[in-house]
Amino acid sequence: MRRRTACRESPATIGVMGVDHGVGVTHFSIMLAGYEGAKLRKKVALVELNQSGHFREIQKAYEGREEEARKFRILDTVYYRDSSPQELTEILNEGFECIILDLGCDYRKNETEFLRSSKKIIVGSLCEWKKAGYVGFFEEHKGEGDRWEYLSMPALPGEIRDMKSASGVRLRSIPFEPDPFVVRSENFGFFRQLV
Amino acid sequence: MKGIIGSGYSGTVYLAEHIRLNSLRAIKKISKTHIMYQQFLKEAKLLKNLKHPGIPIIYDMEEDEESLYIIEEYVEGESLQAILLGQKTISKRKIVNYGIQICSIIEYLHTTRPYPVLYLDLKPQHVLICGNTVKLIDFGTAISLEESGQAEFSMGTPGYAAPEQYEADGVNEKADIYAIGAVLMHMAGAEAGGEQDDRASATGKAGSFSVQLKKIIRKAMETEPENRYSSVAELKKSLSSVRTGMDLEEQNSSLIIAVTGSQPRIGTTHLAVSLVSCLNRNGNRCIYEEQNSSGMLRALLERNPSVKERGGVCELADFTGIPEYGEAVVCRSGEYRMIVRDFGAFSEDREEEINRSDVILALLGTKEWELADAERMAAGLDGEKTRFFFSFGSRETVKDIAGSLGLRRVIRMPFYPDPFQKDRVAERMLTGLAAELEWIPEGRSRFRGVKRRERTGK
Repeated sequence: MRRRTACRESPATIGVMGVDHGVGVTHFSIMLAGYEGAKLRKKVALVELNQSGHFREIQKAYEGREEEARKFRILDTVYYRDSSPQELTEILNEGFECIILDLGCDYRKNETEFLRSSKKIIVGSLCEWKKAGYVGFFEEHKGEGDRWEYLSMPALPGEIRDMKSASGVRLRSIPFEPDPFVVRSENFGFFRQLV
Repeated sequence: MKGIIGSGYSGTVYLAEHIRLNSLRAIKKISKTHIMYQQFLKEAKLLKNLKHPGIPIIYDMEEDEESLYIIEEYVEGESLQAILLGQKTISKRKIVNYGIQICSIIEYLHTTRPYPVLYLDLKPQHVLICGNTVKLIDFGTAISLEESGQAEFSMGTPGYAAPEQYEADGVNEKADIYAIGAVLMHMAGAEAGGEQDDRASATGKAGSFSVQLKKIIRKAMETEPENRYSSVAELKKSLSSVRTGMDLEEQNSSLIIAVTGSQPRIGTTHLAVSLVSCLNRNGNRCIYEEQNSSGMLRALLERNPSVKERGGVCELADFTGIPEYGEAVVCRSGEYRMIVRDFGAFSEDREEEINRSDVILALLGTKEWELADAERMAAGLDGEKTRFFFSFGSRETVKDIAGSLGLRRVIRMPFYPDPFQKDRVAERMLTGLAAELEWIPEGRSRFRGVKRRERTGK
């Protein structure tokens, strides 16, 4: 029997970068980590390489109080909050099979870690007041970003189609999922195509 | 008087029978010179006015010159503490059910008139499980809500007491809410007791809990009382909605068939896969659920290009199956008429879950070194629901072992190499089993004599 899929080099790193504030980078990163951990049963780490403080709030909500420890686990995912690129080197040696980097929305600051990732994902929004920002990002990184994955917050098929026509970029809509910690089988196809 | 139930520091407890009513009573005898006499008297007076199925009834009090006698309901059960110490896990359903009952009792105490009561020392040691009913015992530290701001109150027990019980500012109902959360958390399997700081890490350790239940525990155990549930009724309502969710999950009409084996590599998955394939060939909508950590289906998916995956469900020929996923995954199997759950090698911590199935298929080995595991598994399974399969043994050997284990309804597994492919001999066995259990019309089975020849080992 032939192998169906090639083995990945270990660990794979997936860099997730937002085009703008509030486009759902952390929400999507948690969903992706859930898919890798709960569905694919990989040892997965989600690393916060931005200054949003979101992971601190998540930890507080799940553990009921402020914690000093910057590493915590929720379900199948190990979270590292408030991390730095220097700490990433240590995390890479901790036996994870997949490491997802939540790079926030400051491309210039986190460009190096983003470009080093084996998989590069850009998240933006197609709502009217943010769409221009996404288009601008496409223009700025034309050529460079040909092998990147472009995702949008949940959007209508028509909006996706229009954006593809206008920008020439292959864009996908993230499935609507209000609870990022749940991994629904209906969304397996989306993640399978993505990763 | 029938005898002494217990004797200790606080006095002696006798078991007595009410002659006219022909019912049992417990009589506590406490010396009036005992240092805690006043506390016992206070507890008895408090309990005398309480009427709830979860609180032992105080029928009467008598006294003589030397002693006080409290005649109360005789309650037979096991403390939650003993249960937690004796078992590795309590099922989620029991945790929720016990939690709701504890809430009902505490809610009654908080709302009883004219003097609402605060319990202030809720912990597994004080929770008695009588069948499926929860009773609360030991009201020695309970106080009326009226006196909570004035009198001294109990600091409770570390790990269960609310933070404000260690302050001098007074306590209210929120202290009992905190303790309910702590008891729920410890039922979930976290390490009991310890310092207050352990709460946070213990909540994280309750990894097998649903996210919803974890949120309930977190809210009940908020450090600041104003951030907790506003009342026990609100906490109970949240637990009830978790139970409703569990009921809805179990309410689907799918038949649940558990397959388990006395040890690893005995053929459990082989049997489960072939059963699913056979049932699907015979017109049942049947699905396999991998309830073990073997990773078989995932490995199959990776290595065999013929295996298709749609919406998390793997398909190969007549077989459909869901691999073992993490807790976060929501993958619907309820639309299938029959669900075959492959539990792999039997273990005590899954015993309750296996026995909740509608039918159990259990594989045992026939080698001498396999018999100890076979006995252990046979002892743990619900015999009425179970069909026992013997893997690779002669008719005489199977007969002997079945006889020695006292097993009825045994089947000798034939050899067939590929569980995904239809095999004549295997099909006869499986359709025979399915017909016997009325999963398929009897006419479809060509395996006649299942009942006569294979039902018992004789």
